[in-house]
Amino acid sequence: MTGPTGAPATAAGRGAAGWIDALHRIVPTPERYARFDTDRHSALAIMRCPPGVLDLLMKEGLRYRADGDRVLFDDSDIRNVAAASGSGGSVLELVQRYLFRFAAAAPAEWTAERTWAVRNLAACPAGDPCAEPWEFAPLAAEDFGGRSWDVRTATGAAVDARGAGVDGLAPLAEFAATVRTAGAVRRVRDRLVRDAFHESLDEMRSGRMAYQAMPPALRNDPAAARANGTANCISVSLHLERVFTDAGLEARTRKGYLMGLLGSDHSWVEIREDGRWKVVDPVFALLGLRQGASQEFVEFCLGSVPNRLVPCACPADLETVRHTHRRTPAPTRNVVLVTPLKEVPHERP
Amino acid sequence: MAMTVPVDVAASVRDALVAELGIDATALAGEAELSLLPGMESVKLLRIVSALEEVHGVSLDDDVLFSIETVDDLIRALGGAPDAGGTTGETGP
Repeated sequence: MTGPTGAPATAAGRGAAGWIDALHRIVPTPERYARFDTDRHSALAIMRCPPGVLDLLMKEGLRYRADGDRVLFDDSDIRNVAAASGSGGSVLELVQRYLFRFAAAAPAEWTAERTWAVRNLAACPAGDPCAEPWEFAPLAAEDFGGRSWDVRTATGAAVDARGAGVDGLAPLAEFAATVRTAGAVRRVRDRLVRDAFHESLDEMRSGRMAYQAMPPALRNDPAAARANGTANCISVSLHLERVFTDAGLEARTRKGYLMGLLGSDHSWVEIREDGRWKVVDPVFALLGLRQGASQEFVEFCLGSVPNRLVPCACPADLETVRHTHRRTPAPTRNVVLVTPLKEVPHERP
Repeated sequence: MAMTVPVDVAASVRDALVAELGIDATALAGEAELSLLPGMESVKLLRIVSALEEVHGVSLDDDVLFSIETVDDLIRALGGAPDAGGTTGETGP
């Protein structure tokens, strides 16, 4: 669709052919891990494609289950097809392009002090009214030399849902804070850690491990994820943690937020060296390279703290938001919204 | 030989906003805050920016992107001159 000036409504992308090609290129979620809990409305909110494209993908073999008069898709399949579509307008493509544009900027941009307003909005995909408890991972910005203030949580009618849907669902819980981040340049010396980082990065760059979204049960089991030929920030962090601890190194995984024009959850692994924790993040390097970053950025991802990460007091295999539905742990959907702040607002002591 | 067709930046911004949000172009005052436009959300804003970057062949730095608050800010970021909502032609080489 174009206007009188020729400006398209979205980036032109590769059209329907790009979507079909993506469907046949992704590694589908193994049947035993598949979760058919994404309805048509949510799928379209994630993919940002015309409904006719989704119909075409179903004819071409996109898996779905009928649930009464509803059609349900595997959430990871939907995200992976969208990310590989080349449409330029799906949520994951936008996240990767705009959150990692800074990686191609001058190195000073990787560590400059920044202030952000962050909101984590969560929804319960069960669909029916749900008033059960929500828990958000606490921020630990101080661990990376930053700080946070004006931290608040809200549920139900108190949630500020302006400007956001959560995969087409109404947000039921909100975490919000103002955060200051400051990066730091550090370098990992340990040869085993350096080799493992580069091996992981090479696996993803070469396609031996497809960088993809995975359901929690698969991404939290790094051996199963590797056997499936897929990797994401969580499975890579957990895998490297095992490699490092098996070698007798002090290591831990971390969940946190990635800051930019949009936000995202992110996970990485940290190792203790020279009396301090160093971030080891091959996925950060991979996504930076995809946006034109240099080898200098790759080296930066082997020890340094980027100013775009806000750590939580939370390991990689736990979510930033947790919820029960009908008194049992339930999958949640969340969206992280970030506003870069030009000026540092008044900080509470 | 390829020919470059100048694109009216202000008009292209309004077109992209109308196409993504389905709103009336007359509601798009230059000083209107993008985040407060009807139906606007973060992903939609990035889809609009992405489309406009493609049209104008630019890639905006983070600091420029972070500073965009209004319709006129977006026009200026893309190298255009804000107007009163018309479609004045852009001249130049």
